[in-house]
Amino acid sequence: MRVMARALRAEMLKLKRTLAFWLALIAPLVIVGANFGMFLQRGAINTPEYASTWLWYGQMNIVIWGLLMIPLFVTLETALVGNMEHTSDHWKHLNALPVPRGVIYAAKQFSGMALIALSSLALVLTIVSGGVLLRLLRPAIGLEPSIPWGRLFAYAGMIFVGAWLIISIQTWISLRWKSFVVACAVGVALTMAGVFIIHTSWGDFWPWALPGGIANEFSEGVVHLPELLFGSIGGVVAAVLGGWDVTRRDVL
Amino acid sequence: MQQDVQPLAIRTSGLTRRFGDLVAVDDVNLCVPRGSVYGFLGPNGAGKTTTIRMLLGLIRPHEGEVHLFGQSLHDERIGLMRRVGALVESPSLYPHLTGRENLEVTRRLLGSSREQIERALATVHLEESADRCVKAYSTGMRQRLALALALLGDPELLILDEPTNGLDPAGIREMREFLRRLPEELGVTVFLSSHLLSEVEQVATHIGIVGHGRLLFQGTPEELQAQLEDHVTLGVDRPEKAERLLLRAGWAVRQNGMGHLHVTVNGRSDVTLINTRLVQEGIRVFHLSLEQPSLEDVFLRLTS
Repeated sequence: MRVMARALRAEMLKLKRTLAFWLALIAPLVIVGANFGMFLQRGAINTPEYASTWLWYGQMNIVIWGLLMIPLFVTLETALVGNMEHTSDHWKHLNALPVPRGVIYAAKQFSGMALIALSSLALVLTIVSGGVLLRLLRPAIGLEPSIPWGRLFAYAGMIFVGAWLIISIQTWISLRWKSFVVACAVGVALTMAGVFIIHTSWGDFWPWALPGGIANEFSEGVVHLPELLFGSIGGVVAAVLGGWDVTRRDVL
Repeated sequence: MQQDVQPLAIRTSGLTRRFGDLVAVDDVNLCVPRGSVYGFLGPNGAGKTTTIRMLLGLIRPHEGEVHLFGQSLHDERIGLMRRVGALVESPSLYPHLTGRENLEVTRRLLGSSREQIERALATVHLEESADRCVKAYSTGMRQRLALALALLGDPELLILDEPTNGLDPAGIREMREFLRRLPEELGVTVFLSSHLLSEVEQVATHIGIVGHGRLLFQGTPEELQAQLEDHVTLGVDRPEKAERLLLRAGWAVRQNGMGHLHVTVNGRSDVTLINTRLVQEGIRVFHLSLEQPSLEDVFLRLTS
């Protein structure tokens, strides 16, 4: 455990001054900022009868975050984390240290997950900040005084957990192959495929569509438990398999 | 666990590694004494880096074994790597971090004390630049920082692959002095690979020469030099007569195609005898030089 803790602390230091770290904070701004601009300009949100304005506003952000942003963001973040070691061939230094290779891999996996978790937290805070600002600038939109913190945190958390599977797969790809382009191309292609696959009967379990499926029906509070379990347990299994594959390879 | 009592820092037996049809390392049996500076020489592509990667457990041999400090690397990798510091090929540095932060990353992984960072920086004379980002470092500074990384953890064995890459002459001299001091002052064994003879010649107490994946020689520099015999180059007015005369006397002689003779000798006394004999037979000698083979001559002969 101590070795793991030391490896995680080393990973955290490596993220200092990196694009990977700042993107975790900026990515939610892209979605929330776009929606904020749209609602500010419109002055209205077309809330359906079954939802409160806050929940519908939250849904507009959460669904796009889950369907599109999270898979692309995971692709980019894991590719950046992996690329950090591929440039200058750090693997020969890391793997010559008295640290089990599995620990090094696990630290990379957790590093990617920490960035996505940080981004998920930033998402909730930016949604709320944007909503509070809209309430001040466009009171006609009708955002209620009561902010659904619990629902926002719960769904951001569930999307994060459901994303474990793609985090693990993309981490494996980014560490297994040296090319940054390969990692990004695979993630982007499979995310785009998910936009269509999600409409099939089995599309809910397409890994890159899982976060989007979980985010769906946010305003109604529907919990997609099978997708959540598939993403979380699948993520753990994929992480173990990915780690086994990468750690047994020669460092050439 | 049985421990080998032989005083060897590195011992390999039958070490072999293939890449497809290419045998990159072929039955290499290294014996690196503790406290030595072992120069591992060979032309580019000879198998030096592949061997080093096997010594560090980065790649697995197809045949053979690696023992460090008498223990099997396969069985005790983590424990053994605590006693080893390494610099393999180019420096592995994070350009967005400062020199100190780069050392801190490795320090955290090793669980070493913070004082070791300051000691390592002082050893490589990088204290003043430690808080600048590595992307602003010169090639020489990066090489020194990479050496500092290898020294973190106070290793007993330092494995360095081309450590003077990118260093200017002053830096190379400084590195040479540093490598010489390590066994004397700290009892550290140095395993140093290079394709530059001049670099190894001046510091190594033991030499291993590898060519086409095979270990062609292993021993001290003196033993290496003894591989080639001394010879005398003669310029005489009648080379054919001189050649016949010397051959009759039992010396090995050959013409070099430019009117000079090469005679294999056994020290300076032979030189005197040859000169005297030729003069006595009326042959005029206008050029006589004793040539002792350099390490380069031996190296080129072995690896050609």
